[in-house]
Amino acid sequence: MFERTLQDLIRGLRAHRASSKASEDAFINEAMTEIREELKGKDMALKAEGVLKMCYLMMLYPIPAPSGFAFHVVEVMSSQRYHLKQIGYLAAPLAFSGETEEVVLTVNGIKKDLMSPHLPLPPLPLTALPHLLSLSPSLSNTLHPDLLHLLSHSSPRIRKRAVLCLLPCWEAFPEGLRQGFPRLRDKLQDEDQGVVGATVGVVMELARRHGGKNYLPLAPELFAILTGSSNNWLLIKVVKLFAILTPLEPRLVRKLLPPITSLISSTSAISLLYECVRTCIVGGMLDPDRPEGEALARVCVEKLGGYLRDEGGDQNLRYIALLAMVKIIPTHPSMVAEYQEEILQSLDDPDVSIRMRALELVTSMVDQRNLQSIVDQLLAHLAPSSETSTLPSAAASLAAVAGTNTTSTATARSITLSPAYRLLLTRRLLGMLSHETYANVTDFEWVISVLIDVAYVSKVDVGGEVRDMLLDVVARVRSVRGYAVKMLERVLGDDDVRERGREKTGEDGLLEAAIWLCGEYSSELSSPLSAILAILTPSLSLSTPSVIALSLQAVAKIFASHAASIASSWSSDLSTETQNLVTSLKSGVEPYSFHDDIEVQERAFEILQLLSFVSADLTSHRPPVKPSSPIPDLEPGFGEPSSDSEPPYPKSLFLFQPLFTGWEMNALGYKAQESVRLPDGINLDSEIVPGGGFPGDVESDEDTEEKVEEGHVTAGMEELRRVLREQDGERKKKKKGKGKENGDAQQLTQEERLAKEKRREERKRRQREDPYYLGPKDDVEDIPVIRLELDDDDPTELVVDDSNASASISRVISSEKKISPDIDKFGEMPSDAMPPKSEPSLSRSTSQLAIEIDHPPQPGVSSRYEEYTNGDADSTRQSPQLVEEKSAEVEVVKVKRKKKTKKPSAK
Amino acid sequence: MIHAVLIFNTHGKPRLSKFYTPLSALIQQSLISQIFSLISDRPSGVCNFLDAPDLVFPSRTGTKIGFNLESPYDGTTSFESVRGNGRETEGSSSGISGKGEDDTRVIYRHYATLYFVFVVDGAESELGILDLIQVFVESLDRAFENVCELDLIFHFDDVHHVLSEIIQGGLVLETNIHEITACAQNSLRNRKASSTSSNPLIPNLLTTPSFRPGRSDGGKGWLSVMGV
Repeated sequence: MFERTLQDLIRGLRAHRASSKASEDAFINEAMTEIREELKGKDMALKAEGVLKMCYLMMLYPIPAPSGFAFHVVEVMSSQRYHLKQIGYLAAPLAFSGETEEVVLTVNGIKKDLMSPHLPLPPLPLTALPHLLSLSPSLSNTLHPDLLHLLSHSSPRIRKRAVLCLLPCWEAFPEGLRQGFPRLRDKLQDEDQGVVGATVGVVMELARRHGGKNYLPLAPELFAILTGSSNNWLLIKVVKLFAILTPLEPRLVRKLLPPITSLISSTSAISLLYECVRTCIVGGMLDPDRPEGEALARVCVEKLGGYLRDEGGDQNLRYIALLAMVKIIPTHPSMVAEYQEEILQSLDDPDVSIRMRALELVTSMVDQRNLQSIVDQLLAHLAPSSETSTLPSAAASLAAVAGTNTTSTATARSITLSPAYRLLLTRRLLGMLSHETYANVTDFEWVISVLIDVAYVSKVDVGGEVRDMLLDVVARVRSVRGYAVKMLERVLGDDDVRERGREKTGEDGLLEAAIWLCGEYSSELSSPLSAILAILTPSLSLSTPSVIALSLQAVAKIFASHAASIASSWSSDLSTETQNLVTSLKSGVEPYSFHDDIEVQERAFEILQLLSFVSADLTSHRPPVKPSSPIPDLEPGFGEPSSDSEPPYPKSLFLFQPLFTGWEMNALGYKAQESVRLPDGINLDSEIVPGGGFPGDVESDEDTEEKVEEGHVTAGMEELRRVLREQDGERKKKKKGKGKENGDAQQLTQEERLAKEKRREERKRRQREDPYYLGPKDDVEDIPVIRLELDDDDPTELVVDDSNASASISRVISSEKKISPDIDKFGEMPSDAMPPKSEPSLSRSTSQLAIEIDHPPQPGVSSRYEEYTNGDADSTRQSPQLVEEKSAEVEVVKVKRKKKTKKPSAK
Repeated sequence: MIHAVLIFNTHGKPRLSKFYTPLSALIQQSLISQIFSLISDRPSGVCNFLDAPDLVFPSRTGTKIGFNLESPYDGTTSFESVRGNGRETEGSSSGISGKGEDDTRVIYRHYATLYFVFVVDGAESELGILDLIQVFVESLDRAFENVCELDLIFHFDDVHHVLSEIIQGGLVLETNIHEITACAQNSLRNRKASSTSSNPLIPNLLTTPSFRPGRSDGGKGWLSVMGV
């Protein structure tokens, strides 16, 4: 015989694995063929060996079970021999999955094994049962009485296995829980500690899955275990279970405090001590209203702090101390704050697990006082200390804001940061800043510099978040605009940023924000000319189209304000200088009028045309032709016509400015869009096209002419074309005009009316036969027109985007303005704001939806950014007009409809 | 509960994997390799808990549980591509824990050439599981008499049997090492007796007229045993 045993298989695998992947695969295939043969064979021992080999392969390789494998496992399970049967039960969890029907075949065999008086036998099915029971409710249903029966088995080894099987059984067969619950209570008082331990485990799982409410009645038994047992494992479980139960029953707290306090002071097992402390925290036993609660909290925090301080000691204890401190922060922030130094040190730990816990803890510790020092330390983590010197602006701004922190930079050096950790760290950092609409921020100039630094040093793709936050801060905090523009002006001049920005490392977002903000607040620029030069750097052509489009627009804005400012102090020697500027601008913009991207092309071309106009005006401009205005002050007094028509400067200098200075960009209030008052005379509920564009009820023959004909038009493309043809012909014969429509209708001749009737009949017939024709529908209201606009236009969602808790939407509204810097927390609302109609819950859900959609940052393609900067600025400036325009548009549509539909009827 | 028990060596070769939460084979393998690559990067002397920003454990219901990512930002991981499901982390952790809390933890210990890894949820005490791993290793040591990696390689079924004396269905069955050893030895004795004796160990239990001690079972005999 050539059958391979499991040992042979393993040896073969090891031999082939050493040679190559291909030979290993070949060997596995060969082995699989053999196993299939063995499974089909009649020899039960061979069959079991095959099953075992299959299990081995399935455990180590992602190999699906061969078809019919479950069937063979059932055979082996029902073998008489103990060692074969055990193999069968070992394989059962691997062989059976949700779709396997063979589970049904096992019922009787399992029942027999369970009820066997032979002691070694029942544990075998009990080992495999949890998996099988969770698969098949019918199996759970059938075996439930047997399991309950086994609960009173004489052997504790079987009792405890049976208890554990109850959990999956009740999960699949919930009715069993009611029946078996009293037995659970009995088992909590079992004389065998193992059985009690298993039962506590089951109760724990049940309470976690279904809520602890139903398990409060077990509290007396659990309390007895807590006070009576000396088994640490059991005590840990019970203590953990009480952490679930106490929040549901406050009276338990008073009862539990003495035993838990004594455990804390007496036990030598740190694991038990830790769980007691954790339960005190999580279970709400540290109620500050009670004196002993306060004392206990002090004890707990001191224990945890002790773990944390234990330098060179157990790293595991530091880890779990951080874990538990996160839970205690909400109630006792001041106590944790005493250990701030240790916690911040943990941020520098070489162990990423501890760092992550510390980061989480630090995030929840942040308040107005420590924000700056914590953020600085996190920044120091991101900044590679060796490279800092090569990043001039980052270093400069770091030095500008440092002050509080100089020591931690050195310690962070040795840590290697994975990109995923850097990303997490950066996002946490940004989240700390923007938490509750910058509630903890006292110095916004510092925020700006931090954001710039983050973009420089993070080296992960947070560009979108940095950009959105920069725009948000600058829009909300008026006083910081000057500083921001001056900082970002320097960023523009840094060609390195552009280069690295193309690699999705955070700088791209910074660059976009810099370009846009320098354009929008160009009056704050220290040197507009060098800013223009920096924006139109030759390497711009390598950027993405959206960046180029932004840049062109920004250049136009900067030129606008620059031109306006030189106009006020115009003198003839400025003329050539300006002429040169315009020429260089033109040459800078010109290449982009042939750009591949349509947006870039269009903007470049527009600006180019405007610049040509300015250029022409400059050349033709002659410094004061008539000396009519030597004294500017007297101008308005006399000589009106001459002085008005001939200012001392070329008028075209003011060509650009009005294009960009209509309204100032402000943060838009949450719900601002909803609050826009509807203009008079527009009813959003009324249908633009009656009947939703479908023919109305054809039975009502006496419809107005318009309505019927509308249906006619929309009945199909064929119809539309015909109508258009007729319209053309009609134009020659008939006079048209919307005012005359009614008159025309009345002037229909009898003949025309007959023809119309005929057409209508024909149409009715066609519609009846047309399988694609849909009946009248009234679903216009379902189209969520307004909601879509809200999503696009509300910049507050950017804030929410950054402050990492989505719940903070509500806080944006509710939180009071507490801090001194004048931050525009609530955003701008329309002047004629009206109370929003929709319920808050609805609107919140929509904006949350928006967050989820926005959420994945889209690197490179910054279409969203475009909406925010340009589109959004426009809509902010013109939000009242927007609606009016829309209503006008609606009317236009109506009129057109009428025109179109009128013609054929008039024929 | 305990979601998985894994053993692999320092080269990432899996020696044992036991999942108490049903997962597809592909996900099991990718989880193992992901955990291994994270653990093997960790220097010695650090803590025994594995936390990583990009570690995600898929849950029973097909959604996934994110580790320590309360923020809506979610690192994309290999699992998303494997399962093709990009659901948000938030709210999806209900699959196992029934709570919004992200409490799945990877706890491991390093012995000689082997890593012993337990994937557990918040119902288990972190330090308690560390002790349990120790108990598991000591039980193996007693079962194999100075256990080494080769024992685990060639006797994976015995390892499973020992494990089944400690954990059943993801819940801890026994923590007392003497009891575990006694049970494991019992079971081993039964196995040996059953395989060496020519007679089945329990001849009179399942015997039907067609079954006689000494006859090799097979054919259709099992069908009658099952009552089919």
